Amino acid sequence: MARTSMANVLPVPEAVAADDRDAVQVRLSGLRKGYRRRREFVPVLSEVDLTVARGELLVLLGPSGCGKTTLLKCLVGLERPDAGSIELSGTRVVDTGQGVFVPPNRRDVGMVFQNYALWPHMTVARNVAYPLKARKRAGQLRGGRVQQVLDIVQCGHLADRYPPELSGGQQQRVSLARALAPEPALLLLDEPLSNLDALLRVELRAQLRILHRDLGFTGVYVTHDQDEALALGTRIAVMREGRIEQIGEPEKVYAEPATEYVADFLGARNRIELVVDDDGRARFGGRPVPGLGIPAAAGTYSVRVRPRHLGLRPAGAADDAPGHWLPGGRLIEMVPGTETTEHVVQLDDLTLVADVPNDRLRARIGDEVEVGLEPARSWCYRPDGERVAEWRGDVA
Amino acid sequence: MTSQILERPPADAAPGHRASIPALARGARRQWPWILLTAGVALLVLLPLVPLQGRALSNGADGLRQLTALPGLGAVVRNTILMGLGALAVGMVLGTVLAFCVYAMPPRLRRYLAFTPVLPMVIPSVAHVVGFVFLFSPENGYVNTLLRGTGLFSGGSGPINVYTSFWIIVYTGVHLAAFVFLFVYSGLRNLGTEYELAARVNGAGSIRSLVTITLPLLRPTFVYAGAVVLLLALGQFTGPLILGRREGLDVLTTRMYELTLDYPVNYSLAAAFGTPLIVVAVLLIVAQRKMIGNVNRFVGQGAATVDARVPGRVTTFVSVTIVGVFVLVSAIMPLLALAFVSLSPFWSGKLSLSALTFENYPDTLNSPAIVDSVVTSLTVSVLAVVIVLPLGMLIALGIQNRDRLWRPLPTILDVAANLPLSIPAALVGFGFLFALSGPPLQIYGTSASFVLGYVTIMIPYATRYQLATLVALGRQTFDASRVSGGGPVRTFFRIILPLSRSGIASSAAIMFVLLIHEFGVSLLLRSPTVNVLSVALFDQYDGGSYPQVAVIAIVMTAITAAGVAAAMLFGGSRALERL
Repeated sequence: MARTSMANVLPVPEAVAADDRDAVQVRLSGLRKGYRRRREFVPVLSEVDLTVARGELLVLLGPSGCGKTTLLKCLVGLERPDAGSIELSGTRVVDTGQGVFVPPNRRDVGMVFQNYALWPHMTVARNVAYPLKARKRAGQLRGGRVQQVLDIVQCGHLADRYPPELSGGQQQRVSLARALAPEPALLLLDEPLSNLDALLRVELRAQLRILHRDLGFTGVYVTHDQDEALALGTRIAVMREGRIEQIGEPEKVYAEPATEYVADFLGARNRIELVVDDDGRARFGGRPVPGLGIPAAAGTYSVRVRPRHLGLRPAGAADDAPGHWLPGGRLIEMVPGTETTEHVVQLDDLTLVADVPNDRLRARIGDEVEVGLEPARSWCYRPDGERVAEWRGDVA
Repeated sequence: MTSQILERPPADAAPGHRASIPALARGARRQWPWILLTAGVALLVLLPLVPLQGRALSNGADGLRQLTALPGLGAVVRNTILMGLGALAVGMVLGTVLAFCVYAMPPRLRRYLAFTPVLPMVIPSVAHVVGFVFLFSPENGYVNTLLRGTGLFSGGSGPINVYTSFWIIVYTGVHLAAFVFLFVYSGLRNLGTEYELAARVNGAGSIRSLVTITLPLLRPTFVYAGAVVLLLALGQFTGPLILGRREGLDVLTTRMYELTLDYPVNYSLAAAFGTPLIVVAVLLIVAQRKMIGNVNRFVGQGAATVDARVPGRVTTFVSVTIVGVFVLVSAIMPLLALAFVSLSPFWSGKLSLSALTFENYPDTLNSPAIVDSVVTSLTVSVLAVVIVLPLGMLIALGIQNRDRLWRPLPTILDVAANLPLSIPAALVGFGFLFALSGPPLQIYGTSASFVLGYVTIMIPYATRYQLATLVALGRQTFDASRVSGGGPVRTFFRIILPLSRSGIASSAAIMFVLLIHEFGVSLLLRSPTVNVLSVALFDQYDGGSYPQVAVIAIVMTAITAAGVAAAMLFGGSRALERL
């Protein structure tokens, strides 16, 4: 979808003005939600506070069961929170203290469902017209909004088809058109790309990004895919057990995961446990690591490294590669890829993974290797999961 | 966006959090329609049970004391248990064998033959029993005549006597086998083939994989089917009533019916006959839930997989033969016997084609009593279906949206909507007779009493069918409408109704068929002025007018066939599974 062509068909694609961006479109305060399983109370959301600015696309990121879909459903009105309040465009749609709950059909929202939820007995055009009729937008209906929004998602030619006659990608786009048609104050997207194959997913991800940039809608997007989150979000909120663990701009969250949980979820799979002496020197597996230390109290710390940032070289290699090298590793598996090869290394009782460019290392399974730790490309965490901000790696 | 709707009631609130009192009051207001619905449904299903059982237990349980002092009670209880357990055994074995046979057929054959074991259920039960009488009556039964003609059997009667407890068990077992078949066959299909194939590639032979994988995984199906069939077998009425009386074989339900023929009716004693059946029903439901245990362990995931089995020729031949013989004996032969008697001047037991005549048809169908019963049957059945369909839809919506209702409501709705299935029809009929004969309703003897009775016994079917349709559509389909601005009314008429249309139509046709068949409740509610087809057939049988009986049976079967055709037109061949 070329950006220029889309600009031509958009009705009023006002890009969100800079001062407007700061206006709060959605405000959640003290949101709590739980279920009873037999006699036990299972919390799903715990005291969630959140604001979404106008024109922002906030991505809720987390594993299954972390509460992101429940949060989305609370926003749209398909779930009733146990406690807390939600404001949408300045209107309070949920306030449990006051007994306020506006049902979804009376909230100014749109939603794209994971399985699209297109109604099979209606044509594409009637599906898209439905929210306009239900919300009594006769003017928009007469003004050709249905065709307009179908053109935006490149499905104008499918208007007379029925949903079962469409491919997965087309269904996804029609579902988006239906949600966008009434120009809702808030668009919610519940893992909309998860049912598509990998190539289509990447393509539609790019189209969604362009659409958001051009239409400037305010959205909340739920996914468990970190690539999707980084590609689409103006901010991302990483969720854990019903709480927001970290929220911020994607690049910042990716570059500076605030907790070990976030680092792990954003791909820092390698966990190396270091014991720090009273003098700040680090030991690994009982052996001192030359030159490596943590300017913090003595104790046990975890260092997290992404596979592509973990160094790997044959045992005894004397190169001047940066980092601190941990000897005694053995290569136990190599998983080839197109650009890099995943090297699986056994180091003491740890299993570490290093992605190495295919042309950089020639090794065989069983080879003795050393593992390199670069402080600038890794993060150190206390036992409670908090990041050690002073981690530089080198002994003072 | 300014409307304020009530917060969820505190049952679901987090510990420590309480909604305000005004909020609670508004919540109650919002739940009122559901509270009224639940109360109405509970009232309807308890109407035939509670007043009657109250009567059995009143005056210091006078009814129960009379019952225990009744001479011959031991024999009645023994017959009920013997016939119940015997029919359960026959039905379970036969139904399971049929299910495995159909499942073992190649897919192409299965497509055409899968519904045939259900055919005995398509024939109205009264007509079905009479068909068996025409075949296996010791003196005039066509099969007995043929068997004696072989010279292997001597004497003027037998060798089969359909009026003995053994043959009543066989008849009931054959009839119930169709139920068991439906349960086990759908269980097998839901299980898919992957579990069995996994066992085979792990070295198990076909017998080992059957015994160690398939049968254990079907345990919930067996438990469920076993409980349902035992309830039906203990509460059986039509078979013992028509077959058992000649040899004096009474069961609890038939004795209860006989008491209603006396004047004045001893309601206390008759009600007490129903008490053990209700107790057994409750115990069976509890036991069923306990025995199934963790259902998740038995949920099959293989239904979506392609069936890659290639049955051998011998397997196919044996399977088709077993199913064929069953269908021949249980459905085709009784129907042929009925058709033959309907074309004969009288039932003589001789297969003579020379005297065949169509005269019985105009004679029978011109009788004002029969015409009246046909009109009444059609009217009350259609009316009941028209009433129970929206009622069932509301109950199904309540159960499906259980998280939006006050906690006890969906559970009560669920239990109440299934209750009539667990109680023998004759007992429900007697309960209605008792409840509707006196104030405040006093509608016994009118068509309204039939409509009320039929609506009540159809509630479980209407709810189940429509709940299944709603579940198949998925909640997201409806949520998408609400998120798009559709309120409950728009969502119902624009989304739910159009998408469930064929399911509803198919259910309506099936319920119509079941009501045309209905005998237990109808026999108790009939009056000198209001009668239905199945009871008219029984009256003719009682009076010995066998050709007329056969004509009515054929007419009922024709109406049934039309209903089934309509059901299959709307719901496909699997619509029959809803029986």
